[in-house]
This record gives sequence, structure tokens and C-alpha cells, in this order.
Amino acid sequence: MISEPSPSTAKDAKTGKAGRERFLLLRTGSGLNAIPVRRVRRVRRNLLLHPVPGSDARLVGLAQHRGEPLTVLDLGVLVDGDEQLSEGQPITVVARAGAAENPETIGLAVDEAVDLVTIDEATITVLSEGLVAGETVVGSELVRILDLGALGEAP
Amino acid sequence: MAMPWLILRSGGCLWGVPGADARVIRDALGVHVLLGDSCLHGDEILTLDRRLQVRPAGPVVRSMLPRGCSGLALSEYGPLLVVDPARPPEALAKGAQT
Repeated sequence: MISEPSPSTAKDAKTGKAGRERFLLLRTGSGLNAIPVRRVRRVRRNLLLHPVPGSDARLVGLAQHRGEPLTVLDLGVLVDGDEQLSEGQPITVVARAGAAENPETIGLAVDEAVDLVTIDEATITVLSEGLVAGETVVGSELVRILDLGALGEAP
Repeated sequence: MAMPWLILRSGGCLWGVPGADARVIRDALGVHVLLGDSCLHGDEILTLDRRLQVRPAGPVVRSMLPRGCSGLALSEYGPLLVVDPARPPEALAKGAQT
């Protein structure tokens, strides 16, 4: 388990080397996902969640983070569609989603925050399929590169 | 004076209902909030909050919330969904199920 990245860490996400960027690896029911560290604000464990009746499977519930209401989404469902492969995810990643110039703070419920890694962009196979921007291999595992900027865009 | 918000508990969730033009009826089944042409059903009204700070939902959050929710807020009872009075959520209009 990684420690919580601080806001200052998130601001310093770029490694400074051209074509390389720091990512946070997150495990969901169907595999590993990577989001840029610059999008990550905090990693929370066992956040108290309030379910929302009548919501679709993507919305896990509401929570509070630093005195503000927080919408918590199921990252596995966001990536895999309606397929809900795990429940009761213990980890919530507080992240910035949407357009870079006007980001929104959301929570992403995942099974595990695995590691911080540096990924060379040259190793990424670009997919540009909405949230999943590409794929790469870290260690021996396939990792989906997620573009949180694509959330909220019209399909 | 700031607009009052009814903090309604329904189906295990909290809702913020604009209270200025709302009428509340209580009976054995719970509470019913008459809001324009709609009747919202809930378990109880927790309070009337004049200091609720509503956070309008941006495109990302709005696309994930049930229809009829215009934003979020944090009340003394916890986080809540803000009801759009022009088109209240179906879950409330039908009576939210736990």
C-alpha cells in the first residue's frame, strides 16, 4: 500500500523528463488502472459513504472530504461499463476530473491503491476510447491508462 | 435573508429541498413536501437550514447524479443531494426505497 500523496506531490507529478509521467496504479475488479498523479489529491481509506437511491451503478454514494461534499464513483464500473465486479471497495482516491481548466473534485472507489510508477509515454498504446486513453504493461501486468479529463464529456 | 432549505431524509439519503415555496404535510407514512406540481415523499424532515452552502454540480458530477439533482451540499447531518425544484428526482417523487 502506498502512502497518501500530498497536494504538493500532485503538483509535482511531471518527472521533468520528456515523455515520462508519474501515475498512481489502482486495482479494480477487472485489473490495473493508472491515473496521472497530477490528477490525484488524496487517497482515503474506509471513507464513510452514503448511498444514493435511484442512482446508476457508477455512483457509489456521497461522502465528505475536507468539509466539502464529495461524489464517489465506482472506478471499476466506469471502466468496464455496467459490470460491477467488486463491492465495498475500501479505498477512495480523491481526484480531479473533467476539463483541465475547470476540474471537478470526485472520489474514485477502488479495491487497492497499488503503487506510484513512472511510465514512458512511448510504451503506451493509444486507444482514446473515452475514459481509457491507452494501455501499457507495468511489470508483467496490463495497465489501462485513464484520462479523467474525458469524464463528463458527451458520449 | 438566505433561502431556507428543508433537509429531508428519504431512502437512507439526505436531500436538500428549496423550502421557500414548499409545503410540508405529515402523516403516518412519513412526510410529503408539496413543491410546485410535485409531491416529494420522505421519512422525516431533519431541519430547516438557512446556512446551507450549495455546490452546483459541474458536468462530471451532474452526469453521475440521479436526474433532478442540481448539486451537492454538506449539512450538519452529512452530505446531501440538492433537489431541482423544476424537475425533482423520481426517487423522491415515488418515495425512495432503502
